[in-house]
Amino acid sequence: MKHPSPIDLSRALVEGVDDRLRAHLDICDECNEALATHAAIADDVRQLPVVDPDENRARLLRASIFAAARTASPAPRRSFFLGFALAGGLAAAAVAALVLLRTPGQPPHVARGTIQPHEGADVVHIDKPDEIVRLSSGTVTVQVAALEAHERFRVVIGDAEIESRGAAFDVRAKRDRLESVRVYDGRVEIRADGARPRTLVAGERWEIELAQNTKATDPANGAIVATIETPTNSDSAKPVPATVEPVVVESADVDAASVEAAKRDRIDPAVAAAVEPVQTSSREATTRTPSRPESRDAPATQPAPSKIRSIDKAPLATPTAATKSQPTKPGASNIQATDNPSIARPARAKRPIEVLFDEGFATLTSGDPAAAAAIFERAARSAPKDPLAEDATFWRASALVRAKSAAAASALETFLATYASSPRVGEASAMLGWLVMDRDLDRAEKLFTAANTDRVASVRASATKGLAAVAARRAK
Amino acid sequence: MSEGAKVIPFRRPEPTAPVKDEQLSDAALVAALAVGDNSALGALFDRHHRGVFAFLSRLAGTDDRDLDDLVQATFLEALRSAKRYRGDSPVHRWLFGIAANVVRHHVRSEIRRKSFQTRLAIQPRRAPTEPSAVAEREQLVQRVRRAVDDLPHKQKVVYTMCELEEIPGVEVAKILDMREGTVWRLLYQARVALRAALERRES
Repeated sequence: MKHPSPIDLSRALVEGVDDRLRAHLDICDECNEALATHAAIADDVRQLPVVDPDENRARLLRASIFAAARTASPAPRRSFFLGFALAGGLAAAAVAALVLLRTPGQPPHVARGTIQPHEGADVVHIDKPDEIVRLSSGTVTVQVAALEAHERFRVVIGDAEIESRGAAFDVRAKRDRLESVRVYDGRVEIRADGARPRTLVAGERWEIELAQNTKATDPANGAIVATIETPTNSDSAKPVPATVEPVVVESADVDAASVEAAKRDRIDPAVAAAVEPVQTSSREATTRTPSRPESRDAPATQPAPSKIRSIDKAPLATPTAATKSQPTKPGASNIQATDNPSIARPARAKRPIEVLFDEGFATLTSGDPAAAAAIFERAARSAPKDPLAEDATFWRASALVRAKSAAAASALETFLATYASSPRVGEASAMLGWLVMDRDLDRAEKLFTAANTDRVASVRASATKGLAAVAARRAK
Repeated sequence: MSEGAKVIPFRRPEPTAPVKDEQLSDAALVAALAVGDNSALGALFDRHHRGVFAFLSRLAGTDDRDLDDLVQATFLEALRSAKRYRGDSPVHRWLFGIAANVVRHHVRSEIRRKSFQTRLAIQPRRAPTEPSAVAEREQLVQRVRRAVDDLPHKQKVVYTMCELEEIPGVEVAKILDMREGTVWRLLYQARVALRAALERRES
């Protein structure tokens, strides 16, 4: 008689006996006895008492775990090496203290997000160490003030997270799955499991659908379909892609709204006028989508398994200050605020450079570029190491160009020398190229050539025209 | 937006897996842990500390005094490892895998401690035994306990997971990062060792 292997016999006690083994057991006393013995021993082992902690013990242990988690210290263990560990810990603490004394500390964290949960939303708001809104179901409206460099703000759902550095948007989730994101202001990045990361800007909406009868986590099967809706221009049949690709939108004038939008995204509302001061008037302007370093440096993203469709020109309803201040039936929401029980928080105070920067824009929009340039200069000098100083320097140069100031060329030179890796180098080069063309054709050609590789189409177009103008002058 | 930020490796729950509307799922809690939400640790502890206590006390070789430390170490390690959770197994079983590793390290340090005590001729105090007062059942429990204590760590973990926690072998293999065949071999070896130890003690 051929017996099954002892391993298979042992396995059968856990996974059950199949027909073949059952047939064998019907006629084999030896295997039956082995199985019975193993089962009896397992029963005995199962009878061993297990520890069931009482409520007090569990409570104390819970508190202990939290304390250890907060200080990120290793779990205490009774060990002979405890003394050595303590000595090592003290040494490490001394080194850390030395390092901290030599390093300027981070400013205390201030919550940047204002969370307005809709009826029935299940949301937890944690503002340390990074600000996180944990949403499992329902809809929340989120408003994020501009973040400092060391700060982060994320809305986390079971299968996705949305990150923003300053925006107003809605997030809807169901059963801990992201369903949709709608951006009213600013921009957000969506990182959802099974879909490519996406950046949405104001007016765009993103929805995720789970295709039926397909494996949810397999994007190759097209299981997850991201739908991006974005408003389009009335005179354009093409939908605006929801990527970070630059989009040129013609505008008759530099109105306050476009400047505000441009300022938020750190773009030049008068780039065409500045780039080609000879060919356009100072009141004509072109605005384009954000040109932040990350978007410029990032490779062009292919539209993934997503479908992009246009919707009516009518803008998405932006929550007004009144509606934002009154959450929809807040009593019906399941809100848990950790560390900070306050749900609605006031926006942070502006830094001096921000105040000056805003003042510079207001002056620029009022039609006084010379005064605006002076204000931008003060802004840049007030905090030279602030990230906003780069923008202030650029805008000063841009304002001087528009003011037809003799200092414009040197301002652009200063910007190019100081911020050589700035995403605005192309724009500044093109502007400077036009300015120096009359006196230095070679220099102008180099500047236009540099600007001709810029990612922004309008800058490239200006550079191309500049190169043509240089060639024409040389031909003469 | 931070460049190079990684997509959190969340996995959607299987369609058949029930997700409670009223509260975060276990997987969601682990996901929250992964992004630094320590408050999720409390919820995770509340749900699973009894199971972890039971699992750790079944993994013999630890006395009751050490259990609190081991449970604490398990949950702290869960906090550190949350980013690596892939949803291959339910969260409580994932915690068992972490607990098994914690015990392995603990046993190593215990061996070092006992070795040191032996060299210094310091014997740990033992509770006084009064055989005449010990019931037959308690004797059996002691015998079984010692037999389980003497199992090698891997055999003990596999035996506890497969036989006592009734976790499928395929899943045990994933949790412990070993081949399924190895799981069945270790289970068989544990059975044989237990049988031999109990028979030896009876004789």
